[in-house]
Amino acid sequence: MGKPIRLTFQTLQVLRALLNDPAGEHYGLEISKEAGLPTGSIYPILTRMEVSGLVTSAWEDIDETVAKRRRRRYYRLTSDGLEFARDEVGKAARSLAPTRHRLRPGEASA
Amino acid sequence: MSTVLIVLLFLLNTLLMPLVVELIKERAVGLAQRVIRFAVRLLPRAHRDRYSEEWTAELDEMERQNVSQLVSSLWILLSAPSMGRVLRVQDRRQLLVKGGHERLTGGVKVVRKILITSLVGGMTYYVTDLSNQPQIWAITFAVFIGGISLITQFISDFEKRLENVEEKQAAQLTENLTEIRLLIKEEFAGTNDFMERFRTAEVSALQPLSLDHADRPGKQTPPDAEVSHTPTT
Repeated sequence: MGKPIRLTFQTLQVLRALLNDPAGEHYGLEISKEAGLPTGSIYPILTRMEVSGLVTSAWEDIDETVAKRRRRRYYRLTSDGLEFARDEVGKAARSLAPTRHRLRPGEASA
Repeated sequence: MSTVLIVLLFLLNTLLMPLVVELIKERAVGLAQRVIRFAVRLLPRAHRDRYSEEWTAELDEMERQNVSQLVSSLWILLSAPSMGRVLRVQDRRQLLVKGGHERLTGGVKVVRKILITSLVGGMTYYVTDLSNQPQIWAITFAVFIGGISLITQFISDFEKRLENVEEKQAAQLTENLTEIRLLIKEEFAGTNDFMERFRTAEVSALQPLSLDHADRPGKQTPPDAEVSHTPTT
């Protein structure tokens, strides 16, 4: 699978936040907290992901008067999105991990 | 001189800053809502309702965080143009795909009509030819019957389209009526307490009281008592 969207650090953060609970439903405020990004800045990312088919979204099914709050729009990773998120977050984690530098016998005294 | 100016600025800052901060806090919620309304306008029309509801819900959940609401709404405003572009591109793509599908369906229909007409015409020619009719009559019959089958297909298509349009119109009308009913209901629910009390009084089985009696519930004025307007000194 190719890259359906441009991967930025923020996009990776959002993917990571969604990947923490892939089966769960996440709403904007929660995703922004999880991703450590300013609230409101994640919507272009979520829109691109939705347009690319990486996430789907649906309205929460609640009675607003009983819940005493407005219904939320929930986002969830699709199967393609899950695969993509695992690949890309894994790659990013590997590239950011500290490289194990083996000392050769002569380097320790240098 | 400069020391005096610095002291003055310091005092002004000390006195004014808390006022400014309080003012922002007080107005933040209203401002945030206005910003969201403006941001929504930057999106394609088809997506406005969804994002308006989504963003308003988000701001609502940030209760008692007035400044955060404002900051959040400003972030949304900054993001709205790029979101609008993405959504417009997506809408255009969908429109192209839909248009292509419709053209394909239209093409299939035309081919089907040609095939049916040819088949009917061909069969007519074959049957006429079998009965040893002159060639000219066989061709005339074939064209005539083929033409009738073609016109019948067009009429049938037209009827189907007409039915579709009527069904859509009926559905739209029902939807609009439901929406109007909901709006009216919301508007009435949103009227003030006085209207609600007034409505309750109107529908109650008790006799309505005059305002004089209602103002003074403990005091019972006989209906024929004259009201004295003599000023007290």
